[in-house]
Amino acid sequence: MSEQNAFLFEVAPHHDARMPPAGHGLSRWRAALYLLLAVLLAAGVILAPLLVTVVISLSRPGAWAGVLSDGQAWQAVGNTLIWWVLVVVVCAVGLGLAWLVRNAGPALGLVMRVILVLPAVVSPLTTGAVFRLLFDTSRERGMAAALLGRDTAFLGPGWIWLVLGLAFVWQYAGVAFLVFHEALARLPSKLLRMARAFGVGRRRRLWSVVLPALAGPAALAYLFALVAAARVFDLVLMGVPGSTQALVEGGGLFWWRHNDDLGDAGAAALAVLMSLLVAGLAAPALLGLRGRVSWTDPALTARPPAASGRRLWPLGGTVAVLWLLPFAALLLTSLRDPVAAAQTGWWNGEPWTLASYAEALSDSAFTGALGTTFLRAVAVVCVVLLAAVPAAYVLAHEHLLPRRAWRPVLLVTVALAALPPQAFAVPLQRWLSPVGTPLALTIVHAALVIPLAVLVLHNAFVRVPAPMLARDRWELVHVVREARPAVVLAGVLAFVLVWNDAVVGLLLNWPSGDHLPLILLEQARHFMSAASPLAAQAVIATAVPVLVVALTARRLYRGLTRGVRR
Amino acid sequence: MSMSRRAFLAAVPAVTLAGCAGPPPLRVAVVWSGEELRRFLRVVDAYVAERRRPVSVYSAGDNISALLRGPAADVVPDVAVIPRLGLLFDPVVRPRIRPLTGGHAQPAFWRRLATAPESGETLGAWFKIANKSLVWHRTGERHAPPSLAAWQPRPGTLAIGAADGWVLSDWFENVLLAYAPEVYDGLFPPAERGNQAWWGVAKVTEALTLLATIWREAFTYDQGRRALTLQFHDSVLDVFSYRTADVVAAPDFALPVIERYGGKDVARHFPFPAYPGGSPPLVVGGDVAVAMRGGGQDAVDFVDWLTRPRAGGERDALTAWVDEGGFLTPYRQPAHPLLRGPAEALNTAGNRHYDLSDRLIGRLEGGDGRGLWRVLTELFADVTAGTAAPAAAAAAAREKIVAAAGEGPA
Repeated sequence: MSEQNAFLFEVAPHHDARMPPAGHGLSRWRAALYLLLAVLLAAGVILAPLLVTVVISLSRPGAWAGVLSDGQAWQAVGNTLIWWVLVVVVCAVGLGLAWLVRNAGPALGLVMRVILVLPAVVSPLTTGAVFRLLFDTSRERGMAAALLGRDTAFLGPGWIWLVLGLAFVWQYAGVAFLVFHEALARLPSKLLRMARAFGVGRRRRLWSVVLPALAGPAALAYLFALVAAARVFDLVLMGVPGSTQALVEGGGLFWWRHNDDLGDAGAAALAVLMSLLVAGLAAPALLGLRGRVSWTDPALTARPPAASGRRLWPLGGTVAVLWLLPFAALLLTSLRDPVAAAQTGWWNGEPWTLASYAEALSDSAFTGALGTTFLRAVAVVCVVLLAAVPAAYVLAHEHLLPRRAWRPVLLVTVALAALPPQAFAVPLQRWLSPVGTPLALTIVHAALVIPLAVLVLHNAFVRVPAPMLARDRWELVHVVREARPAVVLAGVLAFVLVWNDAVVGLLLNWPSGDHLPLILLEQARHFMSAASPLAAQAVIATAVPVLVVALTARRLYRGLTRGVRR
Repeated sequence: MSMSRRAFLAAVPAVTLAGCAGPPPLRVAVVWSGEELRRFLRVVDAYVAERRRPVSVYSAGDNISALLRGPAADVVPDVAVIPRLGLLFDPVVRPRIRPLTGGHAQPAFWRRLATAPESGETLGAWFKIANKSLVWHRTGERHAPPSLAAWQPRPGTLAIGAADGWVLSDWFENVLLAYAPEVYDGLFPPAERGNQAWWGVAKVTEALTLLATIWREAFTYDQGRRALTLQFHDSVLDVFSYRTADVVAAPDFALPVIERYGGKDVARHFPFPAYPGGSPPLVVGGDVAVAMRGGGQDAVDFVDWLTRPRAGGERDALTAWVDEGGFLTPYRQPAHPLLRGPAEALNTAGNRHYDLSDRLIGRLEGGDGRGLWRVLTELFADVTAGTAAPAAAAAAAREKIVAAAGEGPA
């Protein structure tokens, strides 16, 4: 296996230069069977309800006109566009950081990767809580206000965008960093050298070599942040005081609050409008993904001189401190006495106590949700792998579709992954209520992750060389074994997404509230006076995905960058 | 490694099976969190011990209306304890409620609130009631204004947790009830269907102007912005912990918060001021327990058990809660001297009116970023952190209310 194309994020098709397979291992019917579960779940849980939503939105004549003339709805749609600006900021910060440390040694690179990516496994709910703590109005409690020396309404109108922007960047810039860091390490350095030797100008080199090389990764980072922004929900519910929420909520949150007022058709129209908006914003990414980019190996010869690596340590240190600060604030708040934590900030220190942890662990609703959420996440991981592995295998190894058909499949998959859940929640809730909530939730979560998992697995599977002579019936097992890192990546992705989810939980599972983030959300009723217990619950809730990621870190990284074992 | 993996795999079905064994728990949805939820759980523990029936309590917070209206019937709880009285008469929720039969008698005023006007059936029983017309200040200081018209708090003396919409709606209700009780009565007359046309009368604008003027007086630009980020508990801390403000209008259940963060015997209160020539307003609220149809007779029994009057010498978690303050019931006098007066008023006062915003359904129904809460939040922001004149801002707020009341059911 050549390392020539060794980059996961390059989701565009590869030219297959290998020897043609000797036989078609799977019959058409078998191959279709392999796809069945994934297609059924994606179609049944996402596509069909989406179509029904479109039909509902057209069922009442005035519905679209009503939504389009609703000032509050437009405000929410406008806010979605501001969130889109933050998406661009996230990508820019990721690229900037990656550019700054592009010449750093392996040690600093590793440290930066770990620290910057860590926030991505924290639930947005916890992120909201941490930044609300840091930016509390009172100079007694909020660190930012304390540094200024006076009460400052950071969480009020206007300033709140700064807080949300910082929270969003903190959470997702790491992913963009990782993508760009890898891409920069694989810039076609020989080509660049050659261009310079032939006297090609700096701007021209940037335009015709560097930019095309970054287009694919940039599209991926953009898409990832866009999906996060389109689903912004719990970050606002937890991180923003009730009075300010209406000023910053995007279309999704507005839909959730007002779907009763808008009526069935109006709510459906708004959901369709939001889907179209997200699709429109995602379109540039698809263009980026289309471009064929060729990768070379990381430039091994171009080791940076030790001095330049050392010069970067202060920068790395600053970034590390900034990125670790929210974790420290959360942890220290959770360790303080609840009464003291409600009145003063964590830097005031004593009294330290484990009371909040004892309280959290003696709360049967919390511990119950901890267990249920874990079981649910594991169940979803199983369903996702069961459906996505055969599907990705069939798609990757041309059992059913020729490779050029992959592009439309890719388009549909990306579109499905980016769709806001509001677009299919209402019909889904009606259909699934007879099967009972626990099962329904598992199915929906799985369906939402499957497109993403297929994308990840497909990229790894195409790199597993097919046996030269004949495809035997155990080929799938062989492929899975070879692409183990990607399978682990897909599983961990599913686990973290389900564990941290609040949107699907709120849309489909209002009631039983056995999903962990929903329990945490309840503390927002009296946010500051619940600071310490909330922080303790958030620490426990964060520890689980962090642990999962830490245990699988090596494979995850290989899954992200290479996908296959060797 | 292999052992632990095997043990884990064995544990999964075990846990699942354990969840299925025994009688299904009675599912109770409440809105409280934190200390109040813990108190409630202690009350419920006695039921579990007595009846050997497990009870699972879920805090739904402000999402409780979505929960009760939701399309998935299997997740509607068996019992709900809700502050939103309007939900009892919601066209979707009403058919899902099992009316109470038998059980103990409730005081007439409270029973009538929870009675369906058409059929005369009692839909719920009151678990907790609250006096929302109190203004708290520190011991030894005098701040009570002679009347509502003369109340002109100096900037920075008044604490309002404007981040919580219900705090603002309580303010509005008190001012409306003091200034124009006939409008308040017209919107929700006792034992009749309400008439939303009352939102259109000029007195609503006048009451909103009066309210906006008080807010404008009490806050500078910075203080107004600050108040918009403070929740109810924060506003109590402002008066009793940081001492950056002098008075805070807050219900009786502010007392445990004051004592937790400010200490014992640091607070006094006076009734919300009356408008000249009127009687002092008394806005009351509460949490009503309702049995849902899915819960069967057990749910009705639980509601009856939960809300029953305690006998003279009976002591349980609920009486302890009443005695320590922050919890009032129609049947028991609290031991705390500061709460005896407010509790007495809840059972006898003539000008008692139930919290208006908790009775609204449809487009005006409160919630973060929606309904009456949003209108009042915008009014507050316009006159404190903005530059709008109180009269103009009040007129704009009235327009929004009338528009919302006209569109949706109420």
